[in-house]
Amino acid sequence: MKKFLFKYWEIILILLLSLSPFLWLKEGEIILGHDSGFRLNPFQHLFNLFYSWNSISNFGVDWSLYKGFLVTQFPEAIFRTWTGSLASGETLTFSFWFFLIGISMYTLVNSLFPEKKYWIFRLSSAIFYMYNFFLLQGWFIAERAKFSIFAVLPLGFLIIYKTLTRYYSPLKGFIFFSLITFFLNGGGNPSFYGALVVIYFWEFFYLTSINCLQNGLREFFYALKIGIFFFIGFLLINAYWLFSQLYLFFNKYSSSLSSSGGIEGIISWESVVNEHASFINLFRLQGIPDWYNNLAHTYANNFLNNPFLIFLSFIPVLIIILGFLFHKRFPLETRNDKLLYLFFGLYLIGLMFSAGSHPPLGFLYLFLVQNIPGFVLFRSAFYKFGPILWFSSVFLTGYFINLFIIKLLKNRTLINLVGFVPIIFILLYHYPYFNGSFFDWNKPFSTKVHLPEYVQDASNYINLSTPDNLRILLLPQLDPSFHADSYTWGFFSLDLLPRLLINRSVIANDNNAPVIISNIYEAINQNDQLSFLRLAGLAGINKVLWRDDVLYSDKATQSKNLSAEEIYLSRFAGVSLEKQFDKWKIYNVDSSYFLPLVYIPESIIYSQSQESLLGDILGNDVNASNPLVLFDNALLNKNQSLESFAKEIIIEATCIMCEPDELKRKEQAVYIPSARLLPDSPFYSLIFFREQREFEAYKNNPLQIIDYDLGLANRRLAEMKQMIERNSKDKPKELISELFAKYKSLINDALKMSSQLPDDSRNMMLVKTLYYLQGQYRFLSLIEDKQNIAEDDLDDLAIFMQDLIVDLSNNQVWMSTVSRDQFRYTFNLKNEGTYDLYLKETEENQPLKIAVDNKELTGLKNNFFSAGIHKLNLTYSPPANLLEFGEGTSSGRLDLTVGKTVKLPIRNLSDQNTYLISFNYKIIEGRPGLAIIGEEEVGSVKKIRLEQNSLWNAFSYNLNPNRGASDVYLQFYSKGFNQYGSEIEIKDLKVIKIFTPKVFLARNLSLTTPPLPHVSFQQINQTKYLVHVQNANGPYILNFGQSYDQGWRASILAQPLTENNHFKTNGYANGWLVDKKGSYEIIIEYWPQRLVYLGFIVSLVTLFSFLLLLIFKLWRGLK
Amino acid sequence: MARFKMKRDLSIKMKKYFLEHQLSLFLIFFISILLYFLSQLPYLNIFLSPWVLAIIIWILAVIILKLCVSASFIVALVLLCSVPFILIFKSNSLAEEVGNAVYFLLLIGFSQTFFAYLKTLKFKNA
Repeated sequence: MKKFLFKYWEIILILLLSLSPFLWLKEGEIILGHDSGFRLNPFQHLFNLFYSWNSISNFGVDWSLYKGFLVTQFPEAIFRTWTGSLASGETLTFSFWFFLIGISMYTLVNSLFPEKKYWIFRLSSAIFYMYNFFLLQGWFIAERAKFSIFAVLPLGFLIIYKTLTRYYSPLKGFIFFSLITFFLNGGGNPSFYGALVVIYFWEFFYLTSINCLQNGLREFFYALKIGIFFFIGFLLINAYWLFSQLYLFFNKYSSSLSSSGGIEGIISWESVVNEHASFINLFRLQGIPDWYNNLAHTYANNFLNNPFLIFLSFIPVLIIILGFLFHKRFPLETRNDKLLYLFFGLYLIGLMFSAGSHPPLGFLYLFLVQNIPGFVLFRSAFYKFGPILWFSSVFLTGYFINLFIIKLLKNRTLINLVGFVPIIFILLYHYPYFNGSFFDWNKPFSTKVHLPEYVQDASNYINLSTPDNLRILLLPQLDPSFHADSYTWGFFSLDLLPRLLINRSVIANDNNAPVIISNIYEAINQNDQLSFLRLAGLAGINKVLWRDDVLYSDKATQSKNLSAEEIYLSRFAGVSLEKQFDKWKIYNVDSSYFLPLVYIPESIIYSQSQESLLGDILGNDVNASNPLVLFDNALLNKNQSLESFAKEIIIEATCIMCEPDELKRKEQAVYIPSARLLPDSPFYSLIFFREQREFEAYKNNPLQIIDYDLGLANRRLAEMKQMIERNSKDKPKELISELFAKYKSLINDALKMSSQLPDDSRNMMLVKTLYYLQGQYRFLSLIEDKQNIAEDDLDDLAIFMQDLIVDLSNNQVWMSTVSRDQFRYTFNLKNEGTYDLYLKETEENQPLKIAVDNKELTGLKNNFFSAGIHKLNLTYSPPANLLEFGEGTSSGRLDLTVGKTVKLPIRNLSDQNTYLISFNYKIIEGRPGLAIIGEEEVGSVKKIRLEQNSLWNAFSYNLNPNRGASDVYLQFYSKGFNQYGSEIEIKDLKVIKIFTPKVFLARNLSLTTPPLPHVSFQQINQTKYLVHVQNANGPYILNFGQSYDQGWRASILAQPLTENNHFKTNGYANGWLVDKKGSYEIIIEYWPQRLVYLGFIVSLVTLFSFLLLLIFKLWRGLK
Repeated sequence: MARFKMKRDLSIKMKKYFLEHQLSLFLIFFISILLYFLSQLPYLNIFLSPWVLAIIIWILAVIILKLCVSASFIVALVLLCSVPFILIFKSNSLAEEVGNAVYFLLLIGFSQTFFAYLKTLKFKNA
């Protein structure tokens, strides 16, 4: 035993230090939420991971991305099952990863420096590799994928090193490398491979260069062979997740890139993540984004502000630089220059990559992002490339500490004693590892929580006592601003809690929710029973889970503020309380409109509208049985005969300039850039030349020409203004007059071109010309013509512009009025016929007059319209001003002397509406301010910035009250330290409810439907369904209620239906046009799952072959 | 007395060094002046910040005067030792600039050492 301890004491110490997670979780605590991904039943999760389709998340999502987690999350499933406790299972999982990270670094150093004198190096590097702030930031969510990468990094490095230096044979290296990348695969997340790719590439490059210098060019071919072998081994053994990843890359890369905001969005995200990744912070092994500007961070502020800790943070980098400076003075037999240069190079590379887009070398990273396809995978450079820096720092620090100690100290006992100093220092410096406070990432939200008993009970009930194909709607709805699921007891995550606990489909308004889900919530909030039942039926929802312990991310809004949702729901017909578990209640929804996962629709509605109208469309057609809604935008490039199946056609009328203050906002957005060259510059002809070329490029597209004319008009105005205002004595008046003439000609040209366009685009371009003119007018009003050089021209131009603005607004442009009492629409009919007109949101505001093409309609039903574009006008009473002025009025001066404020309450405010606050103002004195204040518990103070100048300014603001808010008021007050306070003059101060009527037209085609086939189905697994069709007499549409995805394919007798006949239905589901008579079976299959099967076969065959080969070689005594 | 002697020796050494490297020093001085004027020009001033200028001049000095490897590391070390104080006084942007300079000095120093190492390898091989 003593011998064993003496021999393996270093490993035993690493093992003991790996037990620090036992300090983290107290009785009953578990890690759950945020991005931790822990589940109540890890084995069930692994089983689900086997499939490429996850039907738990709303109506199902592709999750090919997570196949690699099958290996990475396997340990926790084992530990959870073995201990029978989630908490103990998690603690053992943490210790497992802790040990794995430490032992992998230890293995590397031990293999390269096995002599006894290097024990300080071995231990300090292993411990520093386990205890550092880069990993600690991952520990609060137990980021197993990151740990896996950290663990594989030194091992892969070692295998490459040993193979390239010919210590391992190519075959042995190939097998080892493949096996470690199988077991430590970084969760199969390619973005985590950034660090590995850079490190291994540098290692190959460096060692091959040195080998070539020593042994000639044949080393290059040897390295190339090794590289290709290693890469192939990696591909084969990881085929089970790589095939799916490749499928995603080739099919969904562009869409996922655009959903992240495209390259530009990623670059701006980079600037946020790497804001603090400066070289100086990275030298100190800091720069972690979460540390900065975060007062709630439990330990970061100590390290950023405490002078003692600031000094300590420089120790590793000082050791590295001092070591490198003096490394030639260390005895030749103790140092290893080859490795030193390899790691120091890596250190400098790691610094550059970890800094990402941060200056001064950020442009290199941005260049790679912009020019190398797929490099955007490595966004958040700090996190993706940080392991390079930490790995090399840890190695170099340990190496130099050891060399310094054995160089400076000669006494062996002293060396042994002093050798523990760096180890103790590492542990003390990283003290947050021992108190577990790092889990409290934003109090009261934490990843370390006590899971309430009622939550477990409710989950167990649903998992054990309800059918598998259940769809459960979450109430209250998720926080609409973050779409996160958060609770009073500390849980917070974008990965919803019920989805971590329940193996059923959980429907909620998360980030990827289709519009039908927000329609369902809207129906509940508006107490609209019929719409709720129809939409819930269409979505296949049969249970509702009410949670009374919800706490929104604003840390104020709770379930009690949202209780109206539960009250309305409980009163709906067919909705009944099934079971209550303390704060969680399960409601049963028994709707006659319920539709199964697979059905054949009787009433097909074809809608030329936005998907958000789904609720209105269904609510309108009460009698439609087994309905199916086809939106025209979902049928682009699909079988055109689909329209002919429609029983009813819906056409949405487009409201023109209906957003509040839309015209003003567009006018203010007209940007007039400053001119770089003026007409009297010798280079001005270059501008003219460029403009001619641009004109040639656009000349065949009238819409682009009009845009171009308006843009050029802006340029001319900028030139005009700069020429008039510049301080030069020489002001050629003729050139200025010429600019006026050019400007007028461009505007006239735009108007002329617009007049030649078809009706709908003509109106659109005239509106555009109008707000350009208004913006240009505002721009010209700021001209300072001190020498009266262009007085006549300016007067002339003002009259020209005023006439045009008045003429366009009053006579030519078809758009809603600014006063919001006239709403103007256009609608385009393909066919003439009798249409019914439907108006949404007319309960409070009934239109006074409805006119189409200037003819007043007497009724909404049975109106005959010809084919083509029509103009609809709705006249309403002007919206009421909701402000309570008391004795004051909406205009006048507000005296805000010190300590005095003016409070104006808003009447009848509801959190379901949006309001427009608008007024004009001029500051008379001081610095007045405006705040919007909610009085109740969930209210907040929103301070509004007013332009601090002495001009008349226009102000408008859209107010979306907090959930549950009802008493809100405006408060004018005086800001700053002005002795006499402030005074402001206000005109037309008003708060109005924003109300935009939705209008659509419906035409019933009264088709006689042939008898529909009978259909039934059975689920084979999550990615495969078998549908039995009986007695089909003609073509029909088959609806399948999982989320629409091109990966879903239907086939009859192994003959797949073409993608042309596969389309999106009901705004989320899959539909196929089937044209086969008789009785038969249809197989609906999620095709990417086949790649998973293939991948698994390849991976398993490779894995077992390698294991057998390894055993065989070991048996034969491999070198 | 000894201190005085040391000072005198140092000044003699410096004088000797100056005389030996007159031309190189003037060249560096001339290029520095030129770069300074370039850094005042529009557009170029965006790229030629004072720290970039200092790094370019340092690279020139390393090449022209054939400065030894440790020179870059010593300067980097001195600069780095000043950073904790800068950070304590909350001059974070200055600390960042110094950090950038340290990085480039390490890069220069490493490149010098590394190429020297590669030369030795080649020499040994030959």
